[in-house]
Amino acid sequence: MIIIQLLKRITRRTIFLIVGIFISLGIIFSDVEWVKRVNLEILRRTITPASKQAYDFIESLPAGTTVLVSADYGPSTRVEADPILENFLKQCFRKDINVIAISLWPDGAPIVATKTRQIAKMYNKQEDVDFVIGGYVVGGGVAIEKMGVDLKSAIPLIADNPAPFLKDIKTANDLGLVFAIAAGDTLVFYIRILKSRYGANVSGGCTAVMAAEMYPYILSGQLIGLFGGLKGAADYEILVSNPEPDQVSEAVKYMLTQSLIHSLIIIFIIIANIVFLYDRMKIKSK
Amino acid sequence: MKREIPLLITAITGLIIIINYFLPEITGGVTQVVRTWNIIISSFAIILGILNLVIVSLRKTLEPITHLDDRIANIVLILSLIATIIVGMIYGVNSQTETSLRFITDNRYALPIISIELSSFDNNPFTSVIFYSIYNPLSAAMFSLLAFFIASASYRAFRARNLEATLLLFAASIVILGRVPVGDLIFGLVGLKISPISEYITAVINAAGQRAIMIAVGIGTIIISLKLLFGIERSHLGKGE
Repeated sequence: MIIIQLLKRITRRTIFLIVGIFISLGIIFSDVEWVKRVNLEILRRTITPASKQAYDFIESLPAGTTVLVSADYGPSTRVEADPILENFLKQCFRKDINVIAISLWPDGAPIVATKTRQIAKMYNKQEDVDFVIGGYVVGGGVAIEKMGVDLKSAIPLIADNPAPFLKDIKTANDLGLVFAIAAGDTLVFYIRILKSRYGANVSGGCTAVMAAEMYPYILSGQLIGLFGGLKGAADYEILVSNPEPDQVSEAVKYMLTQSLIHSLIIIFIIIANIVFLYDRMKIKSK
Repeated sequence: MKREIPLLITAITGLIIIINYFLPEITGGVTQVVRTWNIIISSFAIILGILNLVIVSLRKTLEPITHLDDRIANIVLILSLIATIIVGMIYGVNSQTETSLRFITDNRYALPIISIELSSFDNNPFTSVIFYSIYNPLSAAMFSLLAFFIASASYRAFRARNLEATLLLFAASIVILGRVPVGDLIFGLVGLKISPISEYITAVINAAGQRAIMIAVGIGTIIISLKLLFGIERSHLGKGE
């Protein structure tokens, strides 16, 4: 009974303190060799079918295809979204796929520009030859609608770009794939407008909290796979580069922190229910 | 006429967009113009937003009843806004590399001298510093607080009060554990795999519920759109005459 009394004294501050300690432990131990090996081993065996579907589709695109990547997220969700963008760019440049990089979010524009240039350098790709930066595209859903009719008028920064691969691109339907990484509702707009109305292939990634909303679109075939949250990002990294423990990036490393916090939440739920059921039994017995 | 003209504009614009969905060849040109207008008008909304923010913050700063902390926060907000606009206008917004500030400690002297160094210079260091060294970590810090609140909320909210709550509790627990390697590690000890169960809940049970919500929302949107087109719904015109 003393234990129950102690458990009852858990306050919001106690929870915050324990969560803080667990996050710190996760970050500190995420670079330990055996932790990375265990993480990798389990992640390799549990690749999400939606992640595999998206990866396979991109892998099936022939060299020379042009794709549009729309990084619609800000710094707040970079931990989840950045690895998806990086791995998508790696896969595209490895396969000699041309990339148009844009963002429908103002704070996503510098992120997508910097990341695209960084990854392109690794694969010796040239700006305005193998890829173009379209910057921030104003208009949200309306801009997406314009892409279906006239891609270059929707993305003004690429309208006069001399990149040779842009010559044959008139509308979004001429693209091999539209890949949106979203922390908001833009992925849904791409599906509802570009896929449903104009027939373009749409795939993408999103934050973990949004992934559940996307499943009806995956099942109906309107969305070709999905990289959902940090788990999706880790799946993508394993599929693209199948790294060894000493080569893993943040997506796989931070799965330890996520594992710890998810376990902690489950422990808190169990404690809360033990206290709740004990109180209920006590009331009933009276 | 103050209300009739905006209602007429709403109805005509809405009809053009609807007709374009079914007959794109006929109304394609007009629809493109309407879409361009939409993008231009939404750009003006940014200016309105900034003006509104400045006015509200200035009013709060000058009001005698405002607490000192709030006053400082509002002054910081206005100064940051002005600084970002000036830097953006002078140096532009494009940057080539991710620049970050580094603290360098020099221990050669009795008191360590700490200096700040830019990890990498690019064509646009000021914009880059504002975005990557100030906005980026602040924004990430705000969002990371979510972990603390979710842990606290789940402790207080997830109780097996009745059958529905118990089902929700179990489904949520399976999905929470199924999305991370530790879930399979724990259940692997008793020869079970939790990730396929988690995937089943997300892909089948959740998708069925989501679909129902989507269809309901879709029908609701059609009704609201029709009410707007016919001038029954007038809330977008505002309350004033």
